[in-house]
Amino acid sequence: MQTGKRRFASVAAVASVTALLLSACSGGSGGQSQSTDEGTAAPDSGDKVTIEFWHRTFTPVENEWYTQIVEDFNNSQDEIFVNDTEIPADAWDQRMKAAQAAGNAPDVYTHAGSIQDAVNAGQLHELNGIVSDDALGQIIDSALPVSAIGDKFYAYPLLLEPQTVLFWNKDMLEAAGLDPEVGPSTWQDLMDACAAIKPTLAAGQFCISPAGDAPTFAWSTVGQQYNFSGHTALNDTWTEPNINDQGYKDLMDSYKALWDNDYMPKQPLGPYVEGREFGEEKVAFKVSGSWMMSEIGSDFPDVLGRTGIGAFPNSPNADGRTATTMGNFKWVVDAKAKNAEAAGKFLEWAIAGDPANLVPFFVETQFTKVPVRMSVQEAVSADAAADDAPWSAIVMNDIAPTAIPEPSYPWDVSLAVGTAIEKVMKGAASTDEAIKTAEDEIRVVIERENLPEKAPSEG
Amino acid sequence: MSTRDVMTLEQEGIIGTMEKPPKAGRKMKRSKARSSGVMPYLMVLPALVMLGIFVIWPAVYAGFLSFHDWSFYKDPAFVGFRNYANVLKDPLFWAAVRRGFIFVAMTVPVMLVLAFLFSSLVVSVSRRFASVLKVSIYIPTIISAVIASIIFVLIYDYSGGLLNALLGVFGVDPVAWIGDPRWALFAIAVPAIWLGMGLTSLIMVAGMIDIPQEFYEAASMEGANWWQKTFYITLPQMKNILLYLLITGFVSAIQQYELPLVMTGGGPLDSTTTPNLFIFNHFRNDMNVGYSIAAALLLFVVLGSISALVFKFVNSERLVD
Amino acid sequence: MAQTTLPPSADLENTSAKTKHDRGGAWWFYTIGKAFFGSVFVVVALFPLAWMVIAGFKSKTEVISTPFQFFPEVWKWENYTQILSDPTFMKTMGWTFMGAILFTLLALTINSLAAYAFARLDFRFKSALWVIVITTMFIPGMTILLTSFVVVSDLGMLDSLAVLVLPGAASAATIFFIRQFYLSIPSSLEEAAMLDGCSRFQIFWRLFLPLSKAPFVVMGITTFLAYWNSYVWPIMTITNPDMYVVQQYLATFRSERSTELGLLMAGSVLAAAPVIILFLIFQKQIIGNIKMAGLK
Repeated sequence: MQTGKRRFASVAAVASVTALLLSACSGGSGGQSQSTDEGTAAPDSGDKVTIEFWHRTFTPVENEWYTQIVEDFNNSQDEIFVNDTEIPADAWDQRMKAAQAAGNAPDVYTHAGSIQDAVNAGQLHELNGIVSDDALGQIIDSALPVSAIGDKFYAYPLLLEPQTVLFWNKDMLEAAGLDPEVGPSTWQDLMDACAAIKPTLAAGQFCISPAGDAPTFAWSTVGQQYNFSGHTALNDTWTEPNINDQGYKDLMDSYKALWDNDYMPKQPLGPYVEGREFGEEKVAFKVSGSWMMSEIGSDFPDVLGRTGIGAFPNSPNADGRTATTMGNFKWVVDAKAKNAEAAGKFLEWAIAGDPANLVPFFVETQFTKVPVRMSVQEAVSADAAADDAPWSAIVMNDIAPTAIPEPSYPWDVSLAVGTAIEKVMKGAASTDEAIKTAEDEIRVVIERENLPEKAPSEG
Repeated sequence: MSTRDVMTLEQEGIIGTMEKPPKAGRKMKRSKARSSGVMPYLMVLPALVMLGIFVIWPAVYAGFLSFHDWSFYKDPAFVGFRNYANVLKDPLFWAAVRRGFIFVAMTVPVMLVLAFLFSSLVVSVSRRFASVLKVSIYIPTIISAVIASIIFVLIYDYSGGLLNALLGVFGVDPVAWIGDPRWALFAIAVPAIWLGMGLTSLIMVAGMIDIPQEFYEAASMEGANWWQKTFYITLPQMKNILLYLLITGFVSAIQQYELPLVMTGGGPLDSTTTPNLFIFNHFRNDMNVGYSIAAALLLFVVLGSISALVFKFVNSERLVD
Repeated sequence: MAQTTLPPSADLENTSAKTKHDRGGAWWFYTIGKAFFGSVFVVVALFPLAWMVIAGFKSKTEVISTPFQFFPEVWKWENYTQILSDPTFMKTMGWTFMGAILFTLLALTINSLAAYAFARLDFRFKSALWVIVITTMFIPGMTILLTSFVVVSDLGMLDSLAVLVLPGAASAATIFFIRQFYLSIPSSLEEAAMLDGCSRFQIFWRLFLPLSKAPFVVMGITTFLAYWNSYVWPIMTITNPDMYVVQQYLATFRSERSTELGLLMAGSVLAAAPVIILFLIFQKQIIGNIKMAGLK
């Protein structure tokens, strides 16, 4: 806290006010006055080390778990005090950017997506040395790409969650004469199902609610791009875009078919990440991340029992490839953390220590997220409530194991592809035009961000 | 940041300004030039110091950053004009600027015409009705842009929104108000007009009431009708107010980003990415801040020049009472 | 088509008695036409707000239910009562209100002092300083969003009342507006006061301030509303929930993966209500005083 500077700022202000209050005919100038002091409301932490921890607002059960875990940690020892702050979801990006620019980012915070960029920019503290090797060694292989670069760890994962999963309303499928227990396994099955469902719908109801706008396509279809074409948007050396092939065109045309046949609404009925329109039974199919199950459980409990879940339909040439990326949520330590040791201790205690600390998180979120340590996976599946969540097996065994990690290239590359998909879907451009525009945009990013230098050493 | 910095800034400002400030109004007869030595400085000091700390210094700092690549954890790397070149080469930036002007064209003229009709109505009805009209038109101004966005998102909802339900009554298929690139910017212009009408209308009413009644009486003697009175008396008399509203309307419309941020995030297909939203999205998503700050400064130069020109013009043009 | 524009002060009864005699049909036609268009303005202006109030009575799933429902099945007060009984909400409202009052007073004080000096006094560097002030008017907030954050952070102002109240208080637009008004006050007043032996500052204090009601009301309400509705700056600078302003409180109903529509609408109504009530109380002064000081 730079009291001197603060004093200067507020004295200037206060002095001007006091000057006004003098009404003698001599017109004096404001005297010294005390600065309007405003202590930050950090609870008294004695001579403890204080750690700042920020996390995003998510569903109520997750927010409660965060509050609880910090409280438990603070009560478990008396050397470190963790000050927990919940940041509203739509404020996170700019709040974090601003804090980093001012050099007062929190010591520990939650992190989604790829860590490559952040590591390149030197924003993350290495975990080797502040988190025990034993804890780092417990991370399952599929979570390594999001937590380590080479042999150095920069993030400790809390969970993995498939980002593209198909949900369906069993009653609506049954009403259309379809098998409510089995979802469509290919795009052709999906189109056939919609053809059967469409005549049974009332006004305002639709067959499917998939992603519908460029930014959502950008991150949620990376798995589908891989499913259709066998690769993602850049070549291996990151020197050129790699989206001009039949696979990409077929993917775009598939969405166009959903659009042209009125199987999907012409305007998204709700955010991709939420399940509102599904809970209100406006759609028979809904595409979202696996987490949607827990939202249905908390917001629309009466629909939960009628909800089917399965892998997203495949392209005809999928060849066994997945159609989803594996989203993740990690905790990281800021590179400028004043007490990296203490930050590491807190991180380890909370998410890399006793599995019992994590069990409530996975149980309360309805078994829709994948723990990243075998010990936690076992503890979670041993929980009594696991039997009431038959869908968890589908998420854990059918979808998660093959999912690919999120891309580590910059967001603008994904956004260019997402924009192309939306253009083709809405008939604003042909596949060739849309792909060409996207290629140009990607080349600009490659040049601007100097991507060939940042390409991952191994594919 | 210290007082010394502010002082240097001011000196730089003084050195850097070669033009005379706009002359405002007819010259008053000054009473004793260079009056009471230190008092004027004390009076302008609080405002200048605060503008210096919270506006001028950040702007200078932003200028510095725009020539650098900076991702906060390493020292800023000097890159010269590269950020500016990247922005100027980016077709998406130009599309956003063009969209900003389209948005102005969609909102400001509509607002001015509606406000003018509204004022004409207000000055011609009973006092009680006039105050009901004035109060109702002002109330939306009180609502924040974020709340207004959410209300209109609900109204535009594709399946269950009020507007499409209304169309349904007449047997029209639902329209994707904020899902269709052709409609989306228009859909955002409506709440912008709704929010902006209040102040515009009331300023317009105030101006219209001030027009001397004798002008109209004289015109009525000559047998002029409403149109003639409007064109030959009302509009010329209100020239300054119309100009003022045009500038303030332009400046606020071209800077609009809260409505599209909450309603559409800039989509569909970038059709609602206004210049400021373009910058804001880059600021949120980019690793380096250089690009977004360079874009913001370029926008400032464009806006500032246009505003300053019109501002000088309005300030020098005065009506003869 | 020789309809005279009635003087604004005209009383409807008087004119109606007179004009009904003169031209019955035409007069009725105009009156009904005006009443109709006036009503259209009123309805269009107020409808979205009415919609917000009604939505506040709906359950989460009713707000945009299909098929469309204008009124809720059951008028539920739960959303409103839940927010009103939340002590945080009341505290937030009080805190925001206090901040807005402080912000408005501070802004009017600082800006009117500067406006007076620029309008009425002569001093060295005046024109250069004036150019600096006016230049700041054209700097869009977006340009300095990040850098002004770094400044307030370096000053140790994050999570404080100061960070909400100080940065926006000095405003070139307000200074310009008030200065234009002061330019229009005749100088003979001042000269008389000078002869009475009053200082410059007292002239400002005793003479100009009482005359400044009109620009102060206009700028005051604008400033107050700007504070009340600010969102982007508070979410960047305030992370302590005890210091949330009202728009931040409302944002807690819109999380990343679940949105409480009914609550959000009810909360928005309650957040706007005090300001609307204030406006209705002071509407005579506000509307009466909206004049373009200096632009006439």
